[in-house]
Amino acid sequence: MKSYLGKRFVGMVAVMFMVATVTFVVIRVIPGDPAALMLGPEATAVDIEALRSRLGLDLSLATQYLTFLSDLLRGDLGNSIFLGGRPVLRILADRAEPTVCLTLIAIVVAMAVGIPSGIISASRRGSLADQATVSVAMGLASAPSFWLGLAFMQFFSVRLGWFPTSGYGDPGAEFLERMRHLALPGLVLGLVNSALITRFTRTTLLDILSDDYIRTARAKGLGEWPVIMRHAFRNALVPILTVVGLTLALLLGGAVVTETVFNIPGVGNLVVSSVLRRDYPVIGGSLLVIAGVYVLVNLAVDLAYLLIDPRVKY
Amino acid sequence: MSGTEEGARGGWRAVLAVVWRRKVVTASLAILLLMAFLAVFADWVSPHSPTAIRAARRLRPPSTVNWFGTDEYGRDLFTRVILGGRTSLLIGALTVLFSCFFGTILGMIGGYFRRVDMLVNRVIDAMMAFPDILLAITLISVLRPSASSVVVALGIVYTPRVARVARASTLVVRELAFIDAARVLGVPTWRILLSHVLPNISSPLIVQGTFIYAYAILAEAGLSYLGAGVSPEIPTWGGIINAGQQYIGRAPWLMWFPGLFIAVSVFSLQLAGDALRDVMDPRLRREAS
Repeated sequence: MKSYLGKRFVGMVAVMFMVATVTFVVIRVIPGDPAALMLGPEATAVDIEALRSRLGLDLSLATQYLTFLSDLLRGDLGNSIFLGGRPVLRILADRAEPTVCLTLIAIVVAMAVGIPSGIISASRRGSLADQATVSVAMGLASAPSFWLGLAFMQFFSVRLGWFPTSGYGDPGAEFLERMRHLALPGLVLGLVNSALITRFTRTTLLDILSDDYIRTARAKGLGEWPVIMRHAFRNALVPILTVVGLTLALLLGGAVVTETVFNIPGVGNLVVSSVLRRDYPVIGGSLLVIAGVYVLVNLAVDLAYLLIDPRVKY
Repeated sequence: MSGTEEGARGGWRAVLAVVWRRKVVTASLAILLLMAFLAVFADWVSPHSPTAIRAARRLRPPSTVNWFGTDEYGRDLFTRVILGGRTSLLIGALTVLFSCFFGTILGMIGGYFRRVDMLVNRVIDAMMAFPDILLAITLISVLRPSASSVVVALGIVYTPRVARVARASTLVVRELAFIDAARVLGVPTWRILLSHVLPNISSPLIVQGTFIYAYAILAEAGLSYLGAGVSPEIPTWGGIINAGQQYIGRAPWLMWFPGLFIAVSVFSLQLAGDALRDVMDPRLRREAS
């Protein structure tokens, strides 16, 4: 167990090191001169030189890379160019609440829709219900989230008036009021991403339902639902948990678009506005933090196997 | 005729047989072909100009004259949607070519040469830790927005997905006896990779390419919607939805038609990918047929 955790930790550090390197290459190396790109075509040579010096871009690439890594180790993601020069980590922390809450609402929706529909689909294989479920799941996975978001906003918010159309409530709004603003975006994001969970739950259960111990359970006279829930589903939990972890990571990317559609002031919205402003320190910091969360979620999923399956031993 | 060619012909016959037997797959392929036809021959299919502004005909609902209605400038929406298809389908196809080319090389190198496998694997893991759209939007901003930047950005984003499949398949193929035989006979490594490994890992790569085509169309639409894709003057499905969203109450067709075209093309590609996987995976072949 300890050696597994040690290996997993070393692997995680190696991936994070590569993530940092890729981020450095994307925001510092590919653009050629990030300072000129950030200030736009109308900037003077003096302005560009001043920004290059402020960001350390006048140093050699090797020195810049080492400085970037050492700053990262100290938790310093740099300062924004446009948001009053504030530290990127502080900006991200301020924007984290809506994104975290949106992602959590969406994962609950995705699981609440995906797992039961996958179970129903697998238990009635080949039936109309099965075909309809698979088709709806594939349809949801094919629909662009922003399109579905706009359609839901038009119907549920504008026509029926059930939800606020956009935003995150007034500054200082109650927690429940803020969550009311996230309900519709969370529903859209969850529905779009439930498709993967539905299809995976169905496939995994179908595999398990052809195993010998299921035949034994049926032969001893157990009803179909106890067979599915008590024997098949419990054994499908590990693979389903894997796909839930993967979906959680996908939701982080999906939040970028959904937050823009619903004008939610989260990390996704911050990234889009930073890209349009070319605020590279914020873009780089966001990339690093989101990729870091993805790596940690994967680790957490691996460790969760221990809790849900007593046969798993590391 | 060599055994490989016979096998390939037999394989393609099996694919065509399954496509024909599964009516849903046949229908989805027919829809994809129709969309491709409309995209290629857009200038002949529609009598309207995609750019002609007619203020008097702005925001008209669908009719026999303007099948999908008109937009906020009075331009014919059907013409713009099928032209948008040209951009989206072409960017998707080029993204598949880019990611399959580089992903296959990267994956085969990782799978075949044990010394570099660890490095390749870590690079793949790191690249896959970034959400697709986030990495793409960042790459486009540093490459400067254009159609070619979108292809390169999406190509880079999806290269690790191809590389992972290519690496896994190469790891299996490299242990097979005929690869050992080729090595013993002194066949150069590059030739082993090209003539012996590549043909044997092509099935999963074709399946993965089909799914990447679907993801790329969705991602391109998302980028255009966010205003980070191709130039707004070029009609794209995502761009049309972005421009039409402020008229959603008055002219919902501005959103419905391009959205439907995205969803139907992605749905059809996913069905085609599923069918190809069923046919090309020996474990699923019997079930599929």
